[in-house]
Amino acid sequence: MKTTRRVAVVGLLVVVGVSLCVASAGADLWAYPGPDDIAADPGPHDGQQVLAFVEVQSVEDETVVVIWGSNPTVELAVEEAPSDLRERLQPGAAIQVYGQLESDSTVLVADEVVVDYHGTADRLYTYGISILGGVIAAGVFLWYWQINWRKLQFEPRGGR
Amino acid sequence: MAEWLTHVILAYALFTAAGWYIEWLDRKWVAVGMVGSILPDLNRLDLLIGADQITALLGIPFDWGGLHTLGGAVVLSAIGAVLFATRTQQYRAFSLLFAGALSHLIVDLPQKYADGLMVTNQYLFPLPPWRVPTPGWYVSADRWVVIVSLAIALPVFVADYYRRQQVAEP
Repeated sequence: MKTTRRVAVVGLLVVVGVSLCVASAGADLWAYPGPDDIAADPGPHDGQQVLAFVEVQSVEDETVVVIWGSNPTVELAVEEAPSDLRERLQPGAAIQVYGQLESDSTVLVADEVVVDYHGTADRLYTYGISILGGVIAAGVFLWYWQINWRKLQFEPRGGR
Repeated sequence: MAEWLTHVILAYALFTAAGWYIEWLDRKWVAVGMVGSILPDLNRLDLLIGADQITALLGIPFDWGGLHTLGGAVVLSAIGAVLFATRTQQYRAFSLLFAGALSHLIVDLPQKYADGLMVTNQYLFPLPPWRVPTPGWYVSADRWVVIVSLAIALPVFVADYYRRQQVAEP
């Protein structure tokens, strides 16, 4: 394949990839309302079930205050989270809450809570070991393949 | 999602074992499959360039999550495959990049979700959203996941080593 043709095909595929990301953003993939829906009009969602991927802001006696979404954000008070789990949560923890919205969508009564990241240590572990995995994959690949920058292509290294 | 080390180790085990039955699938192609196993997580480019910034730039909603899907696996594998030199290499590269990416999505499926369902609605995009119960085996930060992947890969590594020794003997 000629280099100009290769660049054109890659460019076309990148456009397809961007289109996929645009289509994904506009697709209605979830049966539950999201933070955008609730921020726009909180009242009508009372009584609805949601699956919220949220960040813990603070842990009070019986309540976990969380932030849902990035732009816009919704602040929720999570109630009825299991006490043993509540005691281990720190600000910054990433959790999932499945439950019912109440009080103009300011309260989320939890049916089930899953902790994705308890705090900084969990994030450091996940990102650190992921970087290690990426370095190993790239290293093994470049051990067997070399980049021909002039032709913009991968070629097998001789004898490996 | 599981961390990348688990994906890469499992891809090594999967494609090394597949190489016992597919003649052309040697170590250099196993390496291609290992790279494929982290392709769907290119949605983590979100950490470098936020979707909000791209949305502002394009003027239309944008979500990096589109890459962590079946459709994303096809497109990213095709981009990777085009970068190989010959037509045969491109076919092989696409097959392995896509198989690696598919292995990534499959390994990510049985995670814990608070509503008890897999997020197949996201992974299957652009196919219609569909969700099935998840066994809820792990979350990303569970340390034991990488240990299980090593336990799976080690026997494959040892068996592959002895197979190569046998082939090398006159």
